[in-house]
Amino acid sequence: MRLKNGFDSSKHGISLINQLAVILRSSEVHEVENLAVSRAISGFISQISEYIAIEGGFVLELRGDFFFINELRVRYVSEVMINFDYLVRLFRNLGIGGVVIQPGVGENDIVTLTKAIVKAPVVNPFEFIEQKMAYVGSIRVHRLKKIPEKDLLDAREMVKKSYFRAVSFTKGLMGGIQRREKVSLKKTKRMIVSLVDHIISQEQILIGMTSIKTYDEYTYHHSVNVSILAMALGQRLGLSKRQLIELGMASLLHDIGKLKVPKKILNKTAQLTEEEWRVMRRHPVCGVRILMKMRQLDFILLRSLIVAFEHHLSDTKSSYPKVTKALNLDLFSRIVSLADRYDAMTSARVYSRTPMTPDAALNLMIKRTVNHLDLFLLQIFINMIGIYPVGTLAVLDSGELGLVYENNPGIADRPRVLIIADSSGNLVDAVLFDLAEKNPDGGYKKTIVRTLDALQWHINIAQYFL
Amino acid sequence: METGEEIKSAKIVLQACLKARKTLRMYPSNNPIYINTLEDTFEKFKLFFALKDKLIFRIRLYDIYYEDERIYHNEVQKDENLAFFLYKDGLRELTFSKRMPFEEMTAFLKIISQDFENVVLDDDTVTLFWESDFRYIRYVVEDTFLADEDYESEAVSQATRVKNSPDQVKALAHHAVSIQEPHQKVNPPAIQAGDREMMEHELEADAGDKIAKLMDIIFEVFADSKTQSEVAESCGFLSQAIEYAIRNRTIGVVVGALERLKQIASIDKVSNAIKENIEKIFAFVGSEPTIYLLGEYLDTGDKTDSASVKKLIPYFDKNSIQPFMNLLSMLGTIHARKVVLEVLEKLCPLDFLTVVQGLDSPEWYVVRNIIYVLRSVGDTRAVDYLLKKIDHPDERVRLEIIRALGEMGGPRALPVLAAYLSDNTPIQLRLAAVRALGGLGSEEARNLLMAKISEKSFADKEFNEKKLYFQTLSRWKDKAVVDQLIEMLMKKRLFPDARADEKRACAAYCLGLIGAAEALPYLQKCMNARSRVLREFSHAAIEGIEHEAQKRV
Repeated sequence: MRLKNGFDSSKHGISLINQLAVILRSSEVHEVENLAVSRAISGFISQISEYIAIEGGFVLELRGDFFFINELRVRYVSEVMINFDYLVRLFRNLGIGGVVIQPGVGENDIVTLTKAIVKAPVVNPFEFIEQKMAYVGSIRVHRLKKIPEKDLLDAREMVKKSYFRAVSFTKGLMGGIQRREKVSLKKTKRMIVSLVDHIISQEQILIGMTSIKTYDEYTYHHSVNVSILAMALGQRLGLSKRQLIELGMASLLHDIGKLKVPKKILNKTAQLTEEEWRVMRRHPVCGVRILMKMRQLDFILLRSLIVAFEHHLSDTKSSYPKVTKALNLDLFSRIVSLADRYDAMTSARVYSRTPMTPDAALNLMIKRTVNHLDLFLLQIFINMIGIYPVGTLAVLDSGELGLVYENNPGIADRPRVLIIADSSGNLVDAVLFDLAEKNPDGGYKKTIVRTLDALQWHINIAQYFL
Repeated sequence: METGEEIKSAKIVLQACLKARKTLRMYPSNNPIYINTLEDTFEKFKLFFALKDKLIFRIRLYDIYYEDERIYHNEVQKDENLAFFLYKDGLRELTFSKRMPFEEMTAFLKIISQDFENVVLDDDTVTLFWESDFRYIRYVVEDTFLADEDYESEAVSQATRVKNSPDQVKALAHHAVSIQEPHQKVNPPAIQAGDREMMEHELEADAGDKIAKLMDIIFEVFADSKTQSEVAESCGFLSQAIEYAIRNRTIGVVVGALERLKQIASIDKVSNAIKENIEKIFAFVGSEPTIYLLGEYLDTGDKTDSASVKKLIPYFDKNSIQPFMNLLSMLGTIHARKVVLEVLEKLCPLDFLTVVQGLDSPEWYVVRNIIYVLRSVGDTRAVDYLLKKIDHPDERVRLEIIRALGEMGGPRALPVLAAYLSDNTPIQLRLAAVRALGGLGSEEARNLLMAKISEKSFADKEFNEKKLYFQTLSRWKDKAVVDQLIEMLMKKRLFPDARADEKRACAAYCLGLIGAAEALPYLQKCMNARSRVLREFSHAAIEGIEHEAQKRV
């Protein structure tokens, strides 16, 4: 919220985190006394002093994958994405959970903090930093709190509830639209708000919910999954809350046109005929027709309508519907298209019984993406879901079988996995293991060597996530 | 610190919030009462925070509690009941922290003052709170009312029904060891220089107008239509999109869409059914509701795209005239009225009789606007209608009628205008009548003016009125006028007479305007006159006549 004096604490927060990352990154290459580093420190001091003067203090905390300053979550925006990821990774590796900076902080204090962080050893890094900072009165560092198992379970339970509530709501919404009942936009927004809240606080758990592909009601789960993936991506691109609601709504309704596709085609188990594909390919146009009749046209419906029409349009031959005039695709359409393709490729749809493994789907998407902007979005998307997305069944170099459980921010190829079978292939009680963990010699303890198709081998991953 | 004191203070805060709800709904934000109420409420919060750092209200259907004390109770199931208002959207607890700034409290009060019962809003209280990004106001919400809570257990039991078989897992593990081909690791594209700028640019572009895109998509849907009912439906969508574009002030998009439709309709092979549907869209554009929307748009200020509105004129027909005339009594800005008058000027030839009916409007300004339109169109059929209104009670209307009669009245207007020259007539109307007589340009009009100037009482008129008579007379550049003017110029008096000198000066002025070279010797003589005004006007007339003569050479 912008105050009367024009101070925008959210913008300042982003800038401060970015500046702190600049200091620390430069210090990894140069001595702290180097001109580039000292300039960055001076800049930081001047910014933080202004911030503290207005806000009364500066408490930076790492909670989950996001930073909070004075209890306010700092928006993840694309222009500082690399520095944000760097700082998250650094704090995690060093076990830093927070930094408190008091009024009167000076350049020497920041120099001490920088040196302590840069020179921290691999073993017990936090203790080293804490010791070095013991005599600096204006800065305190806090240890990264290990979230108690119970809290994690509670959070997972809450996210699960919200996810199923969203699916159930979507089922009701689509049924209502089909029956031409009045649609409550207020309730739909509330549902989306609840999902966005979880994306902000428990992004990885919510993304994890989208990895379970064994539900009966594909259409509703797919709509919710696409909505979650699209909003999470939009959130990482720095979209505002209002835009996230619009994106959430547009992605939830992107396939609404399929309500007009006969069930015998939608549920057909065999390959579709050319004529059936022709009917299927009309769903974007049908989507527009349904949305135009749904309620009085407004901006949120307009955005949904654009996405419903454009989400299968691309620069490739498979693009549809055929248009008489080339359209510049909307950003939302590109985001939803990406999320839609990923979820569809990794799902056991009726007319495509063999889904792809998440990493194989990503590989194919990289191969097929020709547009530069789409490639950039895909890059951010992969950064978000990881090279081994949640739900990927993996073989570790230890010979164990692991199920990717959570992505590690900033370390795309080192997720946290649930080890489900030992090196002899014996099913074991699942144990969570962080692939970012290192041995004292600096090498990683375990590494993924290949991925497997869980569905092909009838491994039901749902029992580990639900 | 006594709990009783806290409860009392919490009650005062709540009362202040309730009062603010009423005030914020009633007054505009720049009203002193509105501002004072906010400041007063903030003071009440501050008084509470002097006792405690956090103020927590627990919300129930009909009650609001502070600690265990009920501090508000109302059983009315309407939004006026604050407890009900918050509870029905799922709010269960509100916490205000000591550092809450004035702006945040204001944003909070504005949200709870929204009139959800009477204004159609697509957001509920919780969504609005959420969007406001409050830092010092926290809330607890209940979302269970959104969906079927049993769904989760059914879906989970269905998804987890199949348990993993140890043998299957073992087989998989053995298979994994036997795989020879290398694993293809995902190799995401690296972010390149300029990518982030591209994204920023894209985000900026995304904030722009989407209505042109909407129109393009609806045209695609229209082109995709396979059946007559789909064509009709698509044309309905186009009308909806046009209405939305007008509401959102993008008239250029509407013009573009109509041009496309016109083009489609002009193609021979396009079926009559399609053409009929396109005609319906044009009819929609010219219909009363659409025209009223355009009026609302035009009334929003002088930065409206009036050029595009004028481009819509070809799509209006005679049925559009009445709604546009109705707009004249509805619009608040001069700018909007001007545009509507221009439109009516173009539409008037389509149905003259409907336009003249506007002369019967009870609002004087509408009558004046219609006279202005009739003047601009110049259709002499209007004279009869104007003459009937010559005694209109409003002077401003009569003024406009005189002007119109001067432009198109002809001989029938002469007696009416002559009557307006009477000294009993208000000065503005008299002056307008003189000008209008000049506008008629007939010999009878000239004679009338000459006769008026010759009257004895003419000398008593104000100088400016006298001057206007002579100025008007100058449009007749004939000998009779010049001779009479020279005679007036040279008419001397034994004793100084300022009013007579003014008349002579006006004659000199008129000769100058006519450019009468034959008057030069007389004007030269007047250069030695006692009267300063006569000398000056004669001098100016001589200069004017000589300048004209030189130009001719």
